[in-house]
Amino acid sequence: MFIILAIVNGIFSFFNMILASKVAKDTGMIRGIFHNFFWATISSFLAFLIFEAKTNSLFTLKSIPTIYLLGGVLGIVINYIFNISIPKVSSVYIVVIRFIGQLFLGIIIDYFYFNIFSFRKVIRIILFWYRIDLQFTY
Amino acid sequence: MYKSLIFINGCFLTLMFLLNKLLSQELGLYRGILVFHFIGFLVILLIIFYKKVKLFNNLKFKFYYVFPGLFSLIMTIINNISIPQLGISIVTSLGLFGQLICSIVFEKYGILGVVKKEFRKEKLIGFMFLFIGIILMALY
Repeated sequence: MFIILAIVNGIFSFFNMILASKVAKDTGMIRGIFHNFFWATISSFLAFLIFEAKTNSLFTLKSIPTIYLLGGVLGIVINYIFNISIPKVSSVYIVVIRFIGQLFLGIIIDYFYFNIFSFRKVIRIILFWYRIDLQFTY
Repeated sequence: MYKSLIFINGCFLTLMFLLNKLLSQELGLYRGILVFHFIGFLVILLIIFYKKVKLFNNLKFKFYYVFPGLFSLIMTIINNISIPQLGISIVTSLGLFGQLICSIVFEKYGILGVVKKEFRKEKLIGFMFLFIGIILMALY
């Protein structure tokens, strides 16, 4: 069941990518990103109210390292890059190249931050490069 | 050039996941997600004011404008349910599998304005490697 959930997650993420770029095309880039974050904020507020409001207060102040808050800014940069590149590049490349980027930094973070280095992951990345190579060749 | 941009984007995605995870650890799952989206929202509002973009000149609201935001929330929730059960690497690989199937179907028929491209049988070789990768991850 969780395997199916994980696949469904990928499908959602693809739809998210394509629809976000379509909204940006309709309304303009900045308004597209605005729509994305506006509705995400509202729906996550609702989710918070439904699932967590009883156990966790919204306004309890807690000192958080400022760098943790940069996630939101990165989210905007990511949205921006997707919106400009989706009409230009084939969607299979977007999925695969983005994944290689994810694995690449994932390994670096694992190594420096969690002190884990997995040889398996390196094999996977090599397999992925080979896959890209095949795509370009044929 | 766009291909390298997408590569950098992938790197940013991992960094964002890490920061979100740390934020959720500090604040609680849904409050972390809320803060993340709210900060993004504030930043885009700042950009809108700075660039003086008119927010409401296009009054035709279409129902699918809601979906990208909603989907990103659903994805975060599914991730949080399935990662403790399967492990992050398998979840990412299976997610990629779902994305690839979707992208191939969408590309073949050109749905939602995706660049139309025929599916070539040679790509199946690539898929074989992908499967080997996923099985390797699952076995070890």
